[in-house]
Amino acid sequence: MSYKKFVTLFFILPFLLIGTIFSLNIIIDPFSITNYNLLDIHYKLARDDRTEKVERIRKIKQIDNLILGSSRSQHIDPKILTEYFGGYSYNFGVGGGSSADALGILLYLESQKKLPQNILLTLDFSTFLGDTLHPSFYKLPELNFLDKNIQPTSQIAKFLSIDAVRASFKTLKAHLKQTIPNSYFNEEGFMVSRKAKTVDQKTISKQSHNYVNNIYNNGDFNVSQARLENVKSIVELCKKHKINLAVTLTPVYAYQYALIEKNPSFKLKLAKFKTDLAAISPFYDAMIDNQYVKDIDNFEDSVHSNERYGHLYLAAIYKNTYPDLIKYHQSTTLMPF
Amino acid sequence: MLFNSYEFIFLFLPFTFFIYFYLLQQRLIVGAKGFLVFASLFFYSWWNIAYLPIILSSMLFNYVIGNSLNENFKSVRIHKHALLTFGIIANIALLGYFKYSDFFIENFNLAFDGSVPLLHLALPLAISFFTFQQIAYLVDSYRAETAEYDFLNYALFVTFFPQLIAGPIVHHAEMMPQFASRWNLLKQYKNIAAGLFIFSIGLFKKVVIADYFATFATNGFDKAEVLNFFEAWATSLSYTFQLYFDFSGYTDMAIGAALLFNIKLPINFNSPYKALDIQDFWRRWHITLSRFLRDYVYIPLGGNRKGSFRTYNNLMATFILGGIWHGAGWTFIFWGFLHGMALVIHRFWKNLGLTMPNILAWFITFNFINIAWVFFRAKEWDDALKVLNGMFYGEMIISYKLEEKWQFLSSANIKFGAWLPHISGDQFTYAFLLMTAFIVFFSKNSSFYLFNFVPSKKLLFLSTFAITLTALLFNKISEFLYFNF
Repeated sequence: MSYKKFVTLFFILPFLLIGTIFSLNIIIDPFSITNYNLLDIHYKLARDDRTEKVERIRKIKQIDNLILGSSRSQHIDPKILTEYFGGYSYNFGVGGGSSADALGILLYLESQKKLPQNILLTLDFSTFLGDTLHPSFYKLPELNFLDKNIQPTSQIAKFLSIDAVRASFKTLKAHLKQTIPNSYFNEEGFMVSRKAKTVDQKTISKQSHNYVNNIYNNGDFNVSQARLENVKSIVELCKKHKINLAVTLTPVYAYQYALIEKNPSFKLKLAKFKTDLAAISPFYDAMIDNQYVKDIDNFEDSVHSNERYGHLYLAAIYKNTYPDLIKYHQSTTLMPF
Repeated sequence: MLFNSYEFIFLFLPFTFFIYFYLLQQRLIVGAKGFLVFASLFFYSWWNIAYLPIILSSMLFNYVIGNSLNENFKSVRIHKHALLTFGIIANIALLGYFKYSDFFIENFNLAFDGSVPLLHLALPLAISFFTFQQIAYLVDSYRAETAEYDFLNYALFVTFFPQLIAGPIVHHAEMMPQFASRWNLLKQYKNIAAGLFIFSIGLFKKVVIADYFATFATNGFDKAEVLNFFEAWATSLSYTFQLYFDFSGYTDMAIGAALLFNIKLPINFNSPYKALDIQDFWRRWHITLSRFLRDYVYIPLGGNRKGSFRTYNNLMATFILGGIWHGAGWTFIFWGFLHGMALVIHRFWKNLGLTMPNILAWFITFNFINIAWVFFRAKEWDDALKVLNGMFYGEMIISYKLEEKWQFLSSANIKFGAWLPHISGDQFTYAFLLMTAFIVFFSKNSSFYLFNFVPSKKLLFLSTFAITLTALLFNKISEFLYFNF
């Protein structure tokens, strides 16, 4: 092969390959970025929930009720909020979603003059263990209020990414086979599970130990002041725009909470965190929601509650006892497990 | 502007290439070189235009001093010596002011209980590189080893964008003739093909390999206090590979980009982790820095010409200086000290005429380098000790999913829990570490492919694969590690 031919092919081949991948991702559009659905695909199987949900929020003209949180709140059906308050509801629960993600999307909605009337801010305790944010947070300009100089190439990057390729192939495969995925996000950002996941006592106990020992480091962590500040900013933003805000701590399976309570320093640290949070906003503490968190049938695993619990959770907050229950529980102790 | 960014690859590089050769085609040689200097300064200013006056004034100052040293070739020796001393002090003062002021103030405050406020100066990009490059030029001008260069070629020598930000630290003797050569003013497909190939390999090394390991290294050093045994080793090894692939990837890209303009930059890496002793390592790692330290620090200090004791002192001094060059911090100094110490021990061992099996020599060398990098990477002294504590005394925790099958491991004090939770690792982390280790230890390096470059379908396929895969990972752009030094 001559040098000139090598140079020519060096430009042509990657161009063709990248162009093909780009076109494939545009046609399948796994994150629903474009408004076209040329192949009439029903189920988009994207792995990057932030990108997918941010794109959906960009397109929705008006959101009346918004759920903010992490994967732990993805099983809360926003339609229930529509039943309670009317209007359109959306669940912006994203993997590892912290108060920074929540603040980021609210600041974006504020800039677009699309702020909702009701917000349910579900706070995942684990997102306060340190300042580190989910890597996807940084690459989305709609979320990343910490760095406004984020590269504006992100729209192209969304079509030219490994995640997009993977999601496109997965989506196309499911579409061609006409299979319905076991779980997927619907139009309202709700995680639909065709077959409810169940968990047995042994597994959930193991998971609980694992979380406490390894994820929560047996209480050896510093609560992130930056994330608490983000909560404060959300509360102020809601006050400024007269938005009805409800703050909650997401539930964990009672056995896991009992393990936390067994560790005196961890228990103290958690109590201090709750006190600090209460100083910012009253909140509904679902971590000690005794009537529900002890029931294994409400959980998919030791930290992810299921759809059934989602219904109960919303009812507890908004229907049955609201606003009385939205208060800081002075006692953080769970009933003996 | 990063080499691994859309704006560099799709706009800056092709635009600069085509304009440069278009101007040359029109026989506007001065215009073409002037354009290349302008493009390089634009490339530099992309980060922060505020640094532009610093590099311009440094360049002008050193050119004047260098030329004066040349002109004074036959004049009284003391004047030349004073001029050189002035030139070197001015360069070091500039570097010291921006890079080391706060370090000195902090230590002064600590030692004398003072309260001198910190300056919080931002480090101008590439200052360590262009300062060293120009100090070498001054010294060689003093030694009458430089020709009288015209300013345009000198400006290109300092600012040429492929090597401007993080080296290789080029020597005027290897660059100036290339900029002056008429042969290099013609478009040469051989160089373009080799340049594109090596650029694509460098891009792959940086974006696919280095950035993959960056996650584990960053998470590990951020959570140093809680790392278990496997996490601590994954952290240190990830950083060891990240640094190598990041910096050698950058160098490959620099060499490739320069080749497009018919400029051959010196190689900077030659499979350093294959080294069998620490001296061998420094002949393979950041070769142009080692060369600078050898020629402008170690040898002027006396090298190995003044007896063993003096040689050991010179080695220590050179490597402590090497540590300081990398950053203003005690961890860098200690890293330099460790390497200096290792070189002293190695020389002592050699002087005794002792040998050891190659595999053992390699094992000791690689592990020493890996452990020393922990100090190099750690933000604080304490973090380094915590990572090392995890590596040697950390709990051994493997995935709880294996508990039923591998219950027998409990008797060996191995516990079951989450697998690599603090570094966000998964079941592939160690597999990738092993795979990368295999490539690093057993495969030929990119310099080999560059020197033996003959266009073929295999290399074309490799380049296409590298370019396509990196294009798909561009949304995770990260800076090169050596930009911080």
